[in-house]
Amino acid sequence: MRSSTWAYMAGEALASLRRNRFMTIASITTVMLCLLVLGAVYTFTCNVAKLAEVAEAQVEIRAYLSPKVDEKALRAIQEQLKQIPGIQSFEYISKEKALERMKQQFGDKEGLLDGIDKINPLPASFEIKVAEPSMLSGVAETVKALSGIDEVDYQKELVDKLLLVTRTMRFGSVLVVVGLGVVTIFLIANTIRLTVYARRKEIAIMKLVGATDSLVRIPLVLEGVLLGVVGGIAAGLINNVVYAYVFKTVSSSMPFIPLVLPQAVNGKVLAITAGAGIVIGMVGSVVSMRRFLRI
Amino acid sequence: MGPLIRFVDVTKVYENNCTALRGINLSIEKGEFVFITGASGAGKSTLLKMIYGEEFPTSGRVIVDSWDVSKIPRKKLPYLRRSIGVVFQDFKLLPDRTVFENVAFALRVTDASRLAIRRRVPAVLELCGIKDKSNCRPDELSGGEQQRVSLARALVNNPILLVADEPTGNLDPDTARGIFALLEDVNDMGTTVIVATHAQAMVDHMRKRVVTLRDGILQGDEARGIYRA
Ligand SMILES: Nc1ncnc2c1ncn2[C@@H]1O[C@H](COP(=O)(O)OP(=O)(O)OP(=O)(O)O)[C@@H](O)[C@H]1O
Ligand SMILES: [Mg+2]
Repeated sequence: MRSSTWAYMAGEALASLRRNRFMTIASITTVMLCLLVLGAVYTFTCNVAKLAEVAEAQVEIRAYLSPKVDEKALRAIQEQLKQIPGIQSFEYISKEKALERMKQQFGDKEGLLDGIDKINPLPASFEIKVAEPSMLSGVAETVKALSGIDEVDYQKELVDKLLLVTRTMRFGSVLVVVGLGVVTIFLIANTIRLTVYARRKEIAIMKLVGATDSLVRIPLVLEGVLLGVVGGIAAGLINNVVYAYVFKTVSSSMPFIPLVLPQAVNGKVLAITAGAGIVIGMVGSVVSMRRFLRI
Repeated sequence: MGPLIRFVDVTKVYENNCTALRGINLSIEKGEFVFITGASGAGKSTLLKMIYGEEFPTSGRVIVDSWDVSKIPRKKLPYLRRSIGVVFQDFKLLPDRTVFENVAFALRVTDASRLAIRRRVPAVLELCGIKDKSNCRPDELSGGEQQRVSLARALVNNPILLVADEPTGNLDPDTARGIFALLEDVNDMGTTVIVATHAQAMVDHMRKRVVTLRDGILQGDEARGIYRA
C-alpha cells in the first residue's frame, strides 16, 4: 500500500476515536486500570525479590575447625577455600576472637563468663560468604569435606524459606499478569466490538465497493493499538509517580526496609505497561472484528 | 471473446428456504444496456447481487468477465467488485462524509494515488451533475442528488460494468429521466449497463433489451422490449 493510503488509514483511526469520544475514554480508562494493577504487581515483585536478596546476602556459612589444626594446616585450608568456586569471601575467626565476640554479645552480663578465659571452649572457625544463595548447600558440602573442618553450619531453613518465597512470588506474579492480560484483552475486544458494531454499515459499504479486509482492518487495529498504548503509558506514569512517593515516604520513616530505587524500576514499568497496552489493543481489535468482515 | 456475463442454470435458495431464482440461463455481451424487470420479490436484486458477489448461487455458475463468481476466493472478491460499479437502491452513502469523500472512497480502496483522486473525483462529479455539492454531506442532499452521488461513486473506477438496482426507486419522473439519460450516456461511452427497475414508462420509451423475471424464473428476454411484470 502506498503511503497516502497509510496516512488515510491513520486519519480514519483518529477520526473514529474522536467521533466515539465516550467509548475512547471508557476503553482507555479500562486499559489504564488493568495495567495499573499490572505495574503495581511488577513493582511489588521487584521489591520482594530485592528484600530476599538482601536477606540472602546476610546468610553465611560457618565452618568450625578441628582443634588439631595447626598453623600449617590452617594455611592449607585457606588455600583450598580460595580455590572453591562460589565463595565470595571468607574470614578466619580464631578461638580468641570468637571469645571476644561472645563477650561483646553478653555485654554488661560479661560477669557470667568469668573464668571461661582459661578454658575457652570455643572452636576457631571460618565465616564464608557465597556469591549466590542457591550455592549455599553446595559450598557447604565442599567445605565440610575438607580435612581439618569438623562441622559446617548455615541457616539452611531460612535460606530454603527465602528461596521458596521468591519462587512463589515470581510464579504468582506471572499468574496475575497473564490473568490481567486476558481480562484486559477481553474488555478491549468488547469496546472495539461495540465500535465495529456501530460501524457495521460503513464496513459493509467499504467491502461492497471493493475494499480488501486489510483496508477495513488496519484502521481498526490502529485504533485498538492507540487505545492500548495511551492507557498503558498513563498507567505506567501513574505507577511511576506513586512509587516515587512511596519510596520517599518509606525510606525516610523506615530506612531499614531495603526498597528498590525508583529509577531502577520505573523505566521498566513504563515499558511493560506500554508494551502490554500495544499487544492488548492489537489482539483485542483483531479478535473483535472477524465476524463483521464476512461480507 | 465470450459474453461479459453468463448465468448457467443458476438457482438461489436463501437460508430461510426461500427460492429467489430458479434455473436462470442468461448471457449479456460487452457494451449492452439491459433492463431487468419483474414484480416485487421476483428476484431482480438477487440476480444483480450475484454479479458483484454479495450473494452466491446455491447451484449453477455465474461468470463475469474472467471471474467465476460462484467459486471466487474471498481474497479475490474485492478485485471483482472494483471492476464493477454498483448503484444501490438505498444509495449506501457514508453519512458522515462529504460527497467528495464518498466518491473518493471507492478510489481509495484501490490504493489510488492522491493525484489520481484529485483528478478523477471532480471529473466524475461533473459528469453526474453534482460537482457543486462536493462539500455537502449526504443528508443535505435530495434523493435524486444522493442517487447521482451513488452513481458517481460507481463510475469513479472506470468499471467495465455498471449495475444499478432500482436507481429511480422513489424519484419523481423528471429526476428519473435525468438518471436514465445519464445511464445511457455511460453506456454510450462503452460501459455495459444492467438496470433493475419498475419504471415502466422509461423502459417502454428507451427500447433496450428487457429481461423479465417472475417468481424467480426467467419469463422473457426481448432485444428491443417493453416493460413486463
Ligand atoms: N437475504 C435474504 N434472505 C432471505 N430471503 C431473501 C433475502 N433476500 C431476498 N429474499 C427473498 O428472495 C426473493 C427475491 O427477492 P429480491 O430482493 O431478489 O426481489 P426483487 O425482485 O429485487 O424485489 P423488489 O422489486 O421488491 O426489490 C423474495 O421472496 C425475498 O423475500
Ligand atoms: Mg430489489
